[in-house]
Amino acid sequence: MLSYAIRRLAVAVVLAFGVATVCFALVWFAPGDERSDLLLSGRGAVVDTGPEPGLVEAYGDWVGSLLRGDLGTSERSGNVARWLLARLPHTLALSVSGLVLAVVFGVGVGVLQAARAGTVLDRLLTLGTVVAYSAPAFWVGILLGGAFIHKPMELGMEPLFPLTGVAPPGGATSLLDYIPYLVLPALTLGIVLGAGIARYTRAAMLEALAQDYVRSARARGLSEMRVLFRHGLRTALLPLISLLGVYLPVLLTGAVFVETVFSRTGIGLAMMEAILGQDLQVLMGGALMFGFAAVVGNLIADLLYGWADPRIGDAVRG
Amino acid sequence: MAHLRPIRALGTGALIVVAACGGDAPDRPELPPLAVSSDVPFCQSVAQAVNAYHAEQSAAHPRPADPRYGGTVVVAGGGDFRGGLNALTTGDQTDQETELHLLHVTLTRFAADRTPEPYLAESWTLEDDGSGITFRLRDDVMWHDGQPVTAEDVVFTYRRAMDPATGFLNVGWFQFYDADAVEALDDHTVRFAFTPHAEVMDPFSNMAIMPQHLLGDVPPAEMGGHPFGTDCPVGAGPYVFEAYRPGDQWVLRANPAFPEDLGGRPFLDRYVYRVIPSSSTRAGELAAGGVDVALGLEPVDAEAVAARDGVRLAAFDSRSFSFIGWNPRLPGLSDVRVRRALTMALDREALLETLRGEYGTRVETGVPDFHWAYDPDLQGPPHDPEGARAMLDEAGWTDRDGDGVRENQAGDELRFDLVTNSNTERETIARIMADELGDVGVAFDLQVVDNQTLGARLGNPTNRDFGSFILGFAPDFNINERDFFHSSSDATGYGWSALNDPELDRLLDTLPRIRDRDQARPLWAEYQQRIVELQPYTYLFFSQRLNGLNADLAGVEMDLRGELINVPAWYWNPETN
Repeated sequence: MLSYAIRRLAVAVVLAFGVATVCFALVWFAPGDERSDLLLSGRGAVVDTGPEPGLVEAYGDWVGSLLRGDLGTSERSGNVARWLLARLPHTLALSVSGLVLAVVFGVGVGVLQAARAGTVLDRLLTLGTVVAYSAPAFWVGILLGGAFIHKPMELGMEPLFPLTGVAPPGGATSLLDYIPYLVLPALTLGIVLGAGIARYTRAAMLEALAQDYVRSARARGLSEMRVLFRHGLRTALLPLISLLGVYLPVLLTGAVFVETVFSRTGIGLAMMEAILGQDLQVLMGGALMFGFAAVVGNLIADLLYGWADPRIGDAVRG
Repeated sequence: MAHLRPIRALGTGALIVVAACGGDAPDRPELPPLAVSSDVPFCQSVAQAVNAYHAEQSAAHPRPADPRYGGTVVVAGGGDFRGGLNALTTGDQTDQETELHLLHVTLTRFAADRTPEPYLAESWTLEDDGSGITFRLRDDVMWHDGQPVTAEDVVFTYRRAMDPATGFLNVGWFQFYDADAVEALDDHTVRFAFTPHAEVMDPFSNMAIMPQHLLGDVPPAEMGGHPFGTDCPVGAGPYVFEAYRPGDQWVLRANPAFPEDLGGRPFLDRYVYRVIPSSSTRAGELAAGGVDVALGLEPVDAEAVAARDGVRLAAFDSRSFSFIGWNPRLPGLSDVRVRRALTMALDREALLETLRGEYGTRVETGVPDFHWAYDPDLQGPPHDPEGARAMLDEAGWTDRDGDGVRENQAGDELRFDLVTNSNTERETIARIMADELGDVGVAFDLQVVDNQTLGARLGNPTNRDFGSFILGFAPDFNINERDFFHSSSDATGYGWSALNDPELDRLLDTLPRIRDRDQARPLWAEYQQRIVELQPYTYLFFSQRLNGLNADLAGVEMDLRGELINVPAWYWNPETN
């Protein structure tokens, strides 16, 4: 298991390096005169340092500053690393809570559908998850705003949650203050991503339930619940873990839209503003962060998978 | 009649129910002591001094028992003040108003009739020959760190503003000022010297005074990115800087030491400005009670606000007009016939109706109908697509290859960039424009950027690579368009559509020198006529400003002077709240 972990880690490092190189290459080979500002800003405030360096030198400098955690400086936003890191907690809180909701919602609905396969309930839920799966996140966000804020107000009640922002006006006094602001955005992400997980869980459960060992479990007289959860879900969940690794970047890009709808000052909104403001430094920093997040997500999924499925570790050992 | 009504307890998310009857003071908890903090070295000692002085003054001037005192107001606007609240380096509407009316003070301020009234200056004397003015300053106005505001601060501010290295946008104000125009006669007396000119008083209500003791050592060229503006702006106005969360909010705190004669301590303890880029989200937050004032709503959102209980719409004339600007440096646009044809091809009446409905007025120049110099007889180019086609033909632009876009003899297409900021109204204008002007054979490539980028792109005198743009602009009461259209303005920030027209130059040179309005009026008519002939812009409309307000917020005044002019007098109605 340890050597497996080390091997995955090594692959992740190589992958992260690859992501960074692709980012660099995209900017370097792009037409226009942006590259000098963008790739050379890591060289400190001095831009006018004689002849422009060649590809190799510029790449070396750029990787060097990247390793020091220096993402350059943008005229609009100042120190890019500082600008993005200040926003990272809001995006992480949103992504993690969105993911938890997506798993709870997706697995729950998927299991229910598999247990009631072929019934009207199953078909209705299929329709619902397909709609939610294909719905754009911003649209779901607006609907939720209507359902939890505007509708109650029309009925003369106080809104249930704040609509936009990350903390009360004037600032949070404790961590609890942030939670009401997280509900609608996390729910939005949870619904959109959870629909995909539900679709997947249903299919995997049905496949697992058709296996011989499930039939023999039933034959042994185990309760249906026990069959469903111990024999069906456990088998079906394994591949879900690797699916979650793939979901991490989807969560982050989903955050771009969700943060925009709910005016949450996270990395997603910063990216949106950077696109409109042609702030290439911030865009590139954000792209790198998202790319690294994808690599880390996959690494975690691989490790979890190795831990959850003994066959993987065995294969490596053998 | 006793009735119960819940109010939001700001800062805790809990609900407090108060009985509002018999004039009981609502229970509005005192805020914790001011705690400005910063990790920037320059700001650390500044923040300490501000916190200490605020604590001392809060103890010396406790909140009066009047039930109008206390509470927070949350104001939502579309843009962040990225440049901070340093009046020497910023120029957008809302940050400027925040500087002028909340954080900083000005020598004078506009009364409701738009004449200057005393503010930091308690009195002034204009010299008979119009070549100078002397201000006597109050001696009881303090910077938020406890230092007194003196004549040296005024001298410092105006000298920096006049220094081209600072990059102050409205240098045009000082066109007639002598090189060493401003001097301190003693600690509280300042004299300005200039060539006699029109509307002398205007800059004094528009230029916020900045602290010499903090910024005196900052080289003018470094003023722009200095952390003073974003991390620890210190003013002398009725509100004190508390915190800035980039992209999210600015928090200001009532200044307990603000002189009684100038209004004293503001009613509201805290003023929060929140950045919410979309108009419909601002309106939605207003309806949901998340914000109390939603600035700059689009008409469709304003109508939704007007129809709701608990909120109200403030619609008032503003000084802001929308226009399409042309870059006359480009082939094609350098020809006045082409610019006129572009205006004629556009149905501006229908555009106004579509976009603003009743909340706007057509204009033909930047002189609005509420201005004394406005010429009511002025006729702009009519909507006449046929005439536009003929005029383009005459100018040598015809569709030579049958692709629907006109070319000149060299085969260059009549095709331009069209840059605007991300804003539903402007994007709609762009679409209609591309459509209607496409019908007469002119093509546009639309680029949508954000406010700040648009400003940077248009305002860069060394690289004017755009073809056309859609923009709004709010002129001062004293209209002086020299910075925009004079041939010499080509090299300055506002000179995006600078022309090279001797007749216009003559008018722009002469008008600001005439001190008597009656004498100036015929020349102003001539000026407006010349602008219509030259069409540096296609003028669209003056917009009414549409702001949504919580109906319980009282004392609010919004008019031509601005929307934050009397924030210190806003209060939560104790009868209903």
